[in-house]
Amino acid sequence: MERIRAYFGSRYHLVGVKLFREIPEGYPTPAKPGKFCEFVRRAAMGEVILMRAEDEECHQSLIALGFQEPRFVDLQPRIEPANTKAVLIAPVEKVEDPDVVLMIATPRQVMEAAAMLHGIEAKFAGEIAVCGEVIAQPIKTQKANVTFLCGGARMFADYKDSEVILGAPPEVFRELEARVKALEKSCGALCGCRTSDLPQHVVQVFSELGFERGIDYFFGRVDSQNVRIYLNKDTEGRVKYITVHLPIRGEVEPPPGFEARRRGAWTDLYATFKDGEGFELATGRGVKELIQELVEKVRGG
Amino acid sequence: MEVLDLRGEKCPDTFVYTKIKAEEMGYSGGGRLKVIVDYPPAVESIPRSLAEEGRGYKVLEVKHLGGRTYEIYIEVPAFEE
Repeated sequence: MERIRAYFGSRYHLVGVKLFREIPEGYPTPAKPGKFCEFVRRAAMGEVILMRAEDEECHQSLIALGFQEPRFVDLQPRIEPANTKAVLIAPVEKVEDPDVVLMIATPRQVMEAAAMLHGIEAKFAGEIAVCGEVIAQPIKTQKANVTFLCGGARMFADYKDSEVILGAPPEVFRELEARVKALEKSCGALCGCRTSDLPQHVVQVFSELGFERGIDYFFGRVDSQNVRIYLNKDTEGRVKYITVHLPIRGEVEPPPGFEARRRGAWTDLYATFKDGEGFELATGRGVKELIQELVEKVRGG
Repeated sequence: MEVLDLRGEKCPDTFVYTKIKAEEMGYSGGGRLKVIVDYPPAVESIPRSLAEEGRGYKVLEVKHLGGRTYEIYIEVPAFEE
């Protein structure tokens, strides 16, 4: 799942969490007690932690993770019945068959993940958050959830104000990984980097060609043909690809080198090219010629 | 009976205020304390955290007043100086 991390440009590992009914051997336990949400953050930085009941300082977390039954209030979400004896928290690649995968993310990264998963139905209340909302809840529902954390997590576990957590069964992350791979295959066609995030000299290249700047694409007209340009990142987060999108009215067969998508009365023809192969994004050399050539090709010229 | 109304407060503040109040009472001869909360997780964590203090606090009763509001009745012993 390292691909997901690279695609989203996350500084954190995805975290795998696995609940055990018996304490397994061979995993490091914390040197001193802490909080589950704190251990999750440490795992996202690369640490492997086996948390037992005596390692957990937060009573709500002990209930949510199924170490203990509540005594006075039916706190939800929680693992029922309470038969958990240990929880392994580690970078996902170090957890065999995790129950839940967590991604510490910015709202924007969650937005992108939600779009790729065709929506996430989130339920959160700002309490029993990391342990309940993105562990117990996804285990019970087998669906993804998002938490905005709770007061304890914000106070003790050093999460930034800009960080939230996406939690889901591994199947959901495998689906996300498949979508990322598919995007890489088409180089993210028709889904580009935000133009406001692009280096100024790249923006300048398209400005000089007479293109206007949209949120995630440049648009303009070449020989009376509408043209959209999307710039796409590689898995290292570098702007490395250019996707040229030509919307054509009616149903048309894609010329060689193009792919096509139907959209109502339109056919979207698009083709993706790698920086350095016939053009240079840094200087703009060859970009105009490339676009011109594609427009002529579509017109059968 | 002393009353500590913590409606509107969330963890971990709910326990911190309870602990401060209980210690004040303990050093003043002890007594009964009623804590009102409307943050359900605190209903579980306050009794457990008090037990961990090792001061001899005793939770006598937890009453559900409806919705998210609960009362926690605590016996606070007199602390020996």
